[in-house]
Amino acid sequence: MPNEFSVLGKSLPRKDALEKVTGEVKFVADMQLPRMLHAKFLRSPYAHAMITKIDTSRAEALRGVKCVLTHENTPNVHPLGKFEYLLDRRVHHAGEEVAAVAAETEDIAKEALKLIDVEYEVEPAVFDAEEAMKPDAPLVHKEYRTNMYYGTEHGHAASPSPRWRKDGWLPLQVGDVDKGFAEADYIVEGVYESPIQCNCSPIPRSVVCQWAGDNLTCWADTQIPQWVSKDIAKCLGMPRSSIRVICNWPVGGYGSKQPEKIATLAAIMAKKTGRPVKAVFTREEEFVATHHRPNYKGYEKIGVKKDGTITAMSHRVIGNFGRDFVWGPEVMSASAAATCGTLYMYQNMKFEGAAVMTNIPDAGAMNGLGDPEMGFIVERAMDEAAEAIGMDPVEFRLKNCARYGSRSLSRRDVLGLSPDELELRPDWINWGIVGHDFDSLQECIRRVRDKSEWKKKWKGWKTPVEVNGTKRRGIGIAIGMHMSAYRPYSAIVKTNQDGSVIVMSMAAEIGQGIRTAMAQVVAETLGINYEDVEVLLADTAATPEGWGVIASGGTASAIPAAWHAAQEVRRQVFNIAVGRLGVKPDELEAKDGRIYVKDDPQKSITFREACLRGYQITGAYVNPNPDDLRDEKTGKTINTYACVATIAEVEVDTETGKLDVLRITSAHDCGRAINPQIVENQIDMGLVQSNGYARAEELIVDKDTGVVLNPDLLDYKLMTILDMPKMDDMQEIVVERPSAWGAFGSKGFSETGATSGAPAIANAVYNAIGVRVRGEHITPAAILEALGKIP
Amino acid sequence: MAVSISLVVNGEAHKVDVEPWWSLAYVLREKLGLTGTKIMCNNGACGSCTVLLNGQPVSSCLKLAVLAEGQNITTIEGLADTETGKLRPLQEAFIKYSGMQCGTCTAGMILTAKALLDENPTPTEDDVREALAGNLCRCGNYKRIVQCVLAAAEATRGGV
Amino acid sequence: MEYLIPGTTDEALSLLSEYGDKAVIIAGSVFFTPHREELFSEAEVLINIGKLGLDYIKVDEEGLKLGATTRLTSLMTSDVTSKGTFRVLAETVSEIPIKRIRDMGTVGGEVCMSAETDLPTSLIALDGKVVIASSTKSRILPLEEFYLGYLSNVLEPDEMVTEIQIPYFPPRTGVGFDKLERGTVDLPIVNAAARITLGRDDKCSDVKIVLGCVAFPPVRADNAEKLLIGNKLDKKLIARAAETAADIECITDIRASGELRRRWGRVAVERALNKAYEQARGGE
Repeated sequence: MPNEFSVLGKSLPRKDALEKVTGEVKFVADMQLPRMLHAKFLRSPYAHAMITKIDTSRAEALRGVKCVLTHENTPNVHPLGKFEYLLDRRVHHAGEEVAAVAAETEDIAKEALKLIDVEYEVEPAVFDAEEAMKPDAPLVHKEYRTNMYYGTEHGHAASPSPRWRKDGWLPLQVGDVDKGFAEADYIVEGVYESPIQCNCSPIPRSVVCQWAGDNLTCWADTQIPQWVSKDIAKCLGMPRSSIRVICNWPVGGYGSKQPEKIATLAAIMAKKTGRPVKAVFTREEEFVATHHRPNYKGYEKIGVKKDGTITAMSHRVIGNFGRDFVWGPEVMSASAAATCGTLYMYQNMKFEGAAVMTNIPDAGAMNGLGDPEMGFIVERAMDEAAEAIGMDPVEFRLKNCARYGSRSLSRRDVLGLSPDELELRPDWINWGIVGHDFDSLQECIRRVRDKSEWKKKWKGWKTPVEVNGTKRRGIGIAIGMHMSAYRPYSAIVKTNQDGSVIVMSMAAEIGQGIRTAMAQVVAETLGINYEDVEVLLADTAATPEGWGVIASGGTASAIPAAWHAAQEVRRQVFNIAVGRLGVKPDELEAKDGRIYVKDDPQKSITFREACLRGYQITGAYVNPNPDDLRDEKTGKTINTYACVATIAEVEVDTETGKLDVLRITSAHDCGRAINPQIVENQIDMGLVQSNGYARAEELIVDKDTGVVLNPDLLDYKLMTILDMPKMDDMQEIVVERPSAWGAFGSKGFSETGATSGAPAIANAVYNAIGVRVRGEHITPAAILEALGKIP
Repeated sequence: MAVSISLVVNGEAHKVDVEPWWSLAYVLREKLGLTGTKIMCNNGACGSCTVLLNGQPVSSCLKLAVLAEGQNITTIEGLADTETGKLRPLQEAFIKYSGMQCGTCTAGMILTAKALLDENPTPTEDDVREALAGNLCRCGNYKRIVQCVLAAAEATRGGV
Repeated sequence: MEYLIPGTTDEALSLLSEYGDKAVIIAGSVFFTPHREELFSEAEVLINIGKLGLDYIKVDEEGLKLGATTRLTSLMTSDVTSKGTFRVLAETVSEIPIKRIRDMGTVGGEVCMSAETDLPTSLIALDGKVVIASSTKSRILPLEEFYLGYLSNVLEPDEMVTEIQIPYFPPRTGVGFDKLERGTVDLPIVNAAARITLGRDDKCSDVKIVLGCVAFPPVRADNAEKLLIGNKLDKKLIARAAETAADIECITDIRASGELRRRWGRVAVERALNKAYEQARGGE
């Protein structure tokens, strides 16, 4: 795409780069306020128990301890969207908060925890989702009759949707799958599992709460400041105007960065003590007391004809959502809508999903929200389908992948509402189509096929790329997609009298580069320098309503709002110029800090002058309802997604089971690259995280006690630099198929990167060793077991 | 019972009372207010808390503060020129080539890379990968980080 | 907690006899964090043994002597440990991929940790001895007798390790080390060290095979050794010996199953034996 832009499409230095390379950047965990107290949390060692006695007197007597909270002296309220109470008499997973302490120093707070005496009456617990579905299974939440989230009144109240059945299953059906299977030449059937993946946010979650009278300021390391504000308001019965949530520097949440309930607990302790309270999770707490990508067990059945047509698909998915979760329905419905309902073309499809509660740590959103989970299952099954008919798996994807006009579904349609607008939808599915702006899967597939030299390397089914002694090389492909969520969002752009501009948005800079991208979009729109635009993010007292950054909502929702707000400023600036220059607005152009007449460029005023004349020029914008996005030709709703195709080349040592990923070739449709370097950053993030997902990140939960056995970064293994291919073998390809509505065509695409890496590796491993690994991880142990070399 | 120690950080001597079990990371951050050193795992596994002791990288979350007495400690705050504010080539490369996303691993990466370039001004990609093997980046920015280090080496032929 | 920096070994030892198990000795500062909190919660005094002059690598007529606070990196940079049978020490340390851990860690720390570490496996293969001192006595033990189990060794509360001693071996002796881990930043899942001496008839005249981390204490694979001793070696025989060596009960923990350890143990022993054989034939 020719670059006719001044600022857009350029790899400008990040707005946050300088403070990050000098160490000036202050995360919430780095904050120090005068007289600040430190909070620590006591956690249950049992997965399911009743607290029969809790005595905090010894802790309170310890010098330096200023406040101790238990269920006995804390409001009996549910945090937003949760089953749990702020602090409960009953604990539902090993690691649940039982008490909170605020003290002068961290050491004293830790000491105080040891002085809290708790007696528990241990109750039966269940950790496996299918076990929890059985009629005689222990109930995770005794007040409800079932462990199926949508079998409970609470589930429906928290996330109303007419689509979920009262028995807790989410059903979707198109056509007639029985007929479709009957028509198939081959049927592939299998059970696949995708694992829990922990977010491992680099800085554990942190909050600092401070009161001034009845007004609370909460500095929170979060992606969704609006949620924190609503949550505190609900729990403490306050108007949101009295709560200021500031997230100057939240850190890499990958979907999970909400303070959970520690913001509310810290706020209560700050009020009681009259001092600021800081709570920072330890790394261990970050594992056991936050939420993670859920484990899915998928029963797949795919019918194919010899010519490669998919005649029917049946997906039956059971998700283990742990003790409690806010995003469960979102995750499951995203899986249903995207990977199952849109990724492939089909006439007959059946989906059934269950969100099951168990006594393990909460599940919820992580990078990809349901599509990596489902993709790891579906793309391994599809690979088997391609093999059944002896078709090149690349050709199989090319033939069957979504394209303009094919059926598409959005998460909103499946769920029936989005959490920010409690509007019940009628009981029909609003099947949309894939619009032109999502019609890029085939291009992505072709480009990775060519770049990876697939035709040279892939030697056919059951034939590795190369064999060297005990080492075998394989190559595999997978495709993926994720919503590019266009949600209600707003933004304000305001000028300063010197011609510089401030953008105000509820988006949070968690490292994804939104501050930079937003500034580039606004600078481009107004025709001014990137250096003259600054972005104020995520301060609920100042930034207008928005959903934070989740579900790729940054570029897809927050930036369009800012773009439109900037356009409003531009209109007002043009009106001023019109007054000065005596022309009509459509005769004007804005570039290089000037507003000039297109046909007579000498006739101009500076942007600065317009700002001075205008005194205060402000543009505000609220994104419209996404249902209004329709395909021009058919009038059908278009559901915008971003998509990806990935080919992985691996080498397996059949002696040790060790896996080397030699090369990754991955094509991503980002709509339009606002900042190419940052686009590459985000692609790499998805690739590295999906490598960890498939190869190494194993959360080990004791089968008998439900205790997390490896809550640290030594034993929960993240990918290191040596685990990833070298620079030239990390091949990122950017495809630009402009979005129908995104700023200059840009799409939120980062989560998409996490969807196809894992199955691509799995399929490559199959090509190398000739045995399928259908379980949760492709670890050396799993490979050796598959090869029959260890029992 | 607190111990009074003298820590030389970025060329400046600080007298500070510490408990013997406090890590250097804790003292730098909480007592000296130098929060540029970040704590990610607190277990020596991630490298985010890396500082230089006499030019060599150490995990400051493992290193007890008392053991750092009498040694030259360099933190990320000490890299830029204190007089002019001029950034080091490594820092400039990280800005230019987007070597960070969330920024947690950045200080550790830059300091570890500095130690590498001080010893080997013309590293290969393999040298850089080996040097940074123990520095985790959850944002997955490894490729760009290697590019930044090689670019910095290129820019100065070692004078970092 | 008090912090003390004795200037001589005698001073340090008299502190140990005073404080016993209320004292924590510190040198390199590389900890297992779960143990760090435990260690410090009970301690009354922290003793820094960094100023006792125990950072040395010496050779004398008896062999190689390593001071307890010798940094692991020194084993990679010293001339002494760059050749002959002592070369395996440099190789063992070089298998720790993270430089800052090599720089911070000490020989004494690796030995006393009594857990998932690499150096002891090689030291045992080299017939290493540990010098244990207290204010009342000094004793020297073969390293294999130092360990009792996981995180457990024979040190009394008033004792500390001051030196590791390694003897010379006859010409045509080779030593090899290998290990397998899950990932780059890891503790060893299994490691193995082997020493082979070849006689003039090219047959194996002496062999020692040690497996580490499959169980605690490290395991001597004498059954495997019997297969090799007195025989001419080749890849096949070595492979058989490795299989025998690893055919033992291995621990299962959160890091790996016993089955995986058994398999990886075989691979590590085979590779260590092949390296040792290679070096022995090279005739250094």
